[in-house]
Amino acid sequence: MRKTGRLSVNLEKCTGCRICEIVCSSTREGLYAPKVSRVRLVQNEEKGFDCPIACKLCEKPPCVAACPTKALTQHPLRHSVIVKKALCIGCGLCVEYCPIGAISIHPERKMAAVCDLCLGEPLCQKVCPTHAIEFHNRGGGS
Amino acid sequence: MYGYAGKVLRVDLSREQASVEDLDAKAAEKFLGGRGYAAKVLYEETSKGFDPLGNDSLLVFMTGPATGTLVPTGNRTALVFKSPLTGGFAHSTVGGHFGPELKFAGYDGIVVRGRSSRPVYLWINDERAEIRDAKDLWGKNTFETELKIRKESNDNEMRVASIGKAGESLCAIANVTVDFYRSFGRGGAGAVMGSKALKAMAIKGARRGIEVPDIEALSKHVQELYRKLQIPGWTLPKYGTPGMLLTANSQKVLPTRNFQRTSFEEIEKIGPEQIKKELVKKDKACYACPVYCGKFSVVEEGPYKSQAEGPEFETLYALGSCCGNSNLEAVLKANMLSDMHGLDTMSLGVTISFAMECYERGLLNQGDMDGLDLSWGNADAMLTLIDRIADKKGFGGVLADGVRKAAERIGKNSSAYAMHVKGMELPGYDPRGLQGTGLGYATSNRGACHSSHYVLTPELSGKVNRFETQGKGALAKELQDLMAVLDSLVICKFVRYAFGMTAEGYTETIRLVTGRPVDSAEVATIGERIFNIERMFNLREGMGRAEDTLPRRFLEEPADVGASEPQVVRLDEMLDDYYVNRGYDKQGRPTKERLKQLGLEYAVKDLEAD
Repeated sequence: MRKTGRLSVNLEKCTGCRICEIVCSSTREGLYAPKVSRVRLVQNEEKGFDCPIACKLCEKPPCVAACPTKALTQHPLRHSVIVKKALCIGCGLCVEYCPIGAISIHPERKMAAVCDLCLGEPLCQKVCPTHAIEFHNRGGGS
Repeated sequence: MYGYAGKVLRVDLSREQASVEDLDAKAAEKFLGGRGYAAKVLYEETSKGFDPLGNDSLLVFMTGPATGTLVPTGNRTALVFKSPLTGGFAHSTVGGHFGPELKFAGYDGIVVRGRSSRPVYLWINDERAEIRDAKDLWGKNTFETELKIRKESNDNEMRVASIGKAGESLCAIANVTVDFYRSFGRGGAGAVMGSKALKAMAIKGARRGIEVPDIEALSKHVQELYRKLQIPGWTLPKYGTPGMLLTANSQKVLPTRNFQRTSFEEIEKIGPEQIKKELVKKDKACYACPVYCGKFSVVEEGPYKSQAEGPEFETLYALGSCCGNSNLEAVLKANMLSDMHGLDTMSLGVTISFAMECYERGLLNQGDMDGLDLSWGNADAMLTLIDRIADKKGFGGVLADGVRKAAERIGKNSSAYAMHVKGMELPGYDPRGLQGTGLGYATSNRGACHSSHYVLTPELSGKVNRFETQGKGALAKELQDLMAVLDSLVICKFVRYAFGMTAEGYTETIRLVTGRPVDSAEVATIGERIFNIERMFNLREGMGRAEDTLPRRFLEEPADVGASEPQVVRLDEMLDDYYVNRGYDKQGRPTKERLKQLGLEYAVKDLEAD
């Protein structure tokens, strides 16, 4: 029954190792390319700050609202954002409207790419060596 | 090519030109990558006697096939050059995120030659490689440099390797700082960069990924390695490298007051529990590393206000016990200053402790030292001195090129207290209580180095008798070769437990990353080949048996190192045995046949020239 959760991060535990990004890219892209991972590490090494960012499943996703071709929709149960490849024109409006930088335009495919929570079993959460990435029921609790 | 980016960037600073060439696939097969591939480039593209700070010197940055992949600690980059500190071969490796970024930009490595007539930095964004003006960066510390480049590039994800004042003023103990708190630490690479007027290299790799033959199989293999890294009671994730302090101290091999003592009476004040309690804010890890030995530490306020990833074991030894300094906050501040100025904390601490012993013995007085009171443990004087060393100011200039040069400058037989091998300052394990480690120090190509062999692991764990010399020749050889393989993959020595301590442990990883099946004999041969091309570089420079030695203190002054009676290093008992195991003659030269067996025919001419 972990189909409707969302990812959150324990900042004190994240070491900045990027294993979440590496595993995400290897699973999604078939190669090691953290820059196209759906979860992205935001880092300030000088201050020792690390935070992986992934889609937070907004109640009213601005990316979906902004999409001019209706390529983005929200999954009715999991609330994750779905990209309809046939409709996406790679305009990047979704990137501009996402307040936390969780959606990107894939550099080769030129289409929106966003975390889909691995359909309810997020791999990044499983592989995190310090359990800094948590998967909670949407709206809190676990 | 699976595991590799397939390209090498060539930069000629004299001509201000950058070009791209294909990775030499044959060399990648024979030397793997990293330290090995770079050693081959350095050997083949330079000739005897060139000035490490001159026009003909090379800086070879090389990642390996594991860099950028999910392989635990697949984050390292090797930097190979002729050392201004030793005059011989030097390699230095760094973790963090620099290496993966370089590969994601599409390059396995960068070869820098020539010298620029004005300060420049290298700016790389995928295919774009530009030599940019660094007039406004020159004189800035490494933190300011990194921040300024990121700001000007409008990109906080740029990875930067830079030099501080120490590199600019050509200190032979200057290093190259990466990701603020990590370093190409040993051998003086910072001075080589400084001599080229190369302030920094900034890299953004936005597009490319690294391909392996079967990514699922490699993922599975990595899960198995992770499992093996779940070591009960392992102090490395908990305390980082300072966990070793208590072991070294209780085994009486922790160098104290410039190796006059083997344990530190104030160890609790700089020990791992104290560090965790007083300084550490958060665990930090390099790219793809599940071990997180990095400890982000902060002194919030007061005269020692500072922050750094550390202090590491070697820094605590060199700037702590070796200088008789138990002021932990001052050690962190010294650590941060070293990162900002770009100084190797190990060489720095040992050089300062040498000056302290000279002062204690009356070979130096306060007047010689610009009024500084270098009594043991005077932390404030140390901090002042660090700034002066980076600037080569006054007495700082006497120490700025390491302990061998400092002893030459001071004279008065002070070289008796200069703790170095081949000019490189000692790491934090007294070899009088670790015989094989002493042999490793004496014979490692870059000078006094523990991580080029890690004989101390079987010796400290009791797997072999640390006071015996028997069998240490074979052990040192085997582990030197194996560590050359790790430095060429390039992965961190701290995960070697997951692979086991033999060549066999690396065959599966190499196959899964490169697609090339290798057996343990081939892995061992790759390591031996790498070691020997470096050895041939040193022999070409005239460094042979006479340089395979230790400071007089270790050979003549017995110390209480936990044995039934005080010990010296019995190097003579081990060196010939070591040469026999290496297939060397009595002068420490490989035979022609050995070189040919290793596929190093092209090096034979340098044997004959000697």
